[in-house]
Amino acid sequence: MKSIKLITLIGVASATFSVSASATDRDVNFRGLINNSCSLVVLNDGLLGVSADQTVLSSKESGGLQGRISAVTNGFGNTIEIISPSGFTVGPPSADVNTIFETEYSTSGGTVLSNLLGVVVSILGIGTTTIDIDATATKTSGTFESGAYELTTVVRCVVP
Amino acid sequence: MRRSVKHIISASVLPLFSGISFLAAAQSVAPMTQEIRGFNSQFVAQVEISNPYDSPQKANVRVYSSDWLPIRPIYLSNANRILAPNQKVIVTALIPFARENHRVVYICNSITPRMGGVGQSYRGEVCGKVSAQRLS
Repeated sequence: MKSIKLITLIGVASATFSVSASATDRDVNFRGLINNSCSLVVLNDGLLGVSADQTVLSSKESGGLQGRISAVTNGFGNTIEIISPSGFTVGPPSADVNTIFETEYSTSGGTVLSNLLGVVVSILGIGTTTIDIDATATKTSGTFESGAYELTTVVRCVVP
Repeated sequence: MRRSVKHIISASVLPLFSGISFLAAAQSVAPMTQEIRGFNSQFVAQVEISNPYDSPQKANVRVYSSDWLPIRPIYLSNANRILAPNQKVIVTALIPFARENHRVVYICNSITPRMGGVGQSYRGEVCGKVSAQRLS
């Protein structure tokens, strides 16, 4: 009888200990944050070639060269768009007269697209995307006179 | 003015905004999106800009409204500065709610590198989106 009481006492005591032991459990949380980011690097500027009739200055003309930009994103939702220039940054006084500007782009790498107009907004995939851009200035009347010309195209990465 | 701006930042707004961390790797703008809540008539937004090129570059920071009209912040740090290769800088903007309870703005970092082209250059512009809610 005595041994039964002893066993019962030990059982109750061990149960008490186990309850108190579990009551001390605590979770340790680890939190981290990686910011959504976008990086643009101009790999090379372009070259403007001139058409035979001197009405078009374009990277697509003979002697022209596409510009190339690298975009790196680490999250979903980032987009790319090419904003056409509104005028030449360098040029003779008549450079912008009767001149329209257009851009086109194609992408490879993390995002694959081809021959889109610059105004088209495209969603970038995660990783590195290479963007090849053409810029064109066209005279709707008249011709480009002799001189040095330069235009700047904006490549924008943004979450709409 | 600078003192009052610092006071506003430290006393009331910073504890409320979320989503900022300065752990990002060398990128042009981070974070790309953030949400801010505050009680004041203006809010503070911070982004980290960096120069990902191997040469020093001039970085220009501009703030635009949701319909891409330029807006003038009450305060904007590091708006125009030359960054060393891979240098990172925190840009702080204090922006008014302008009688709205919810305002979306874009903080854009643009760099126009000279890469040896003739006739064409490209300006890379990366814009972080800030959505601010005024609590009342």
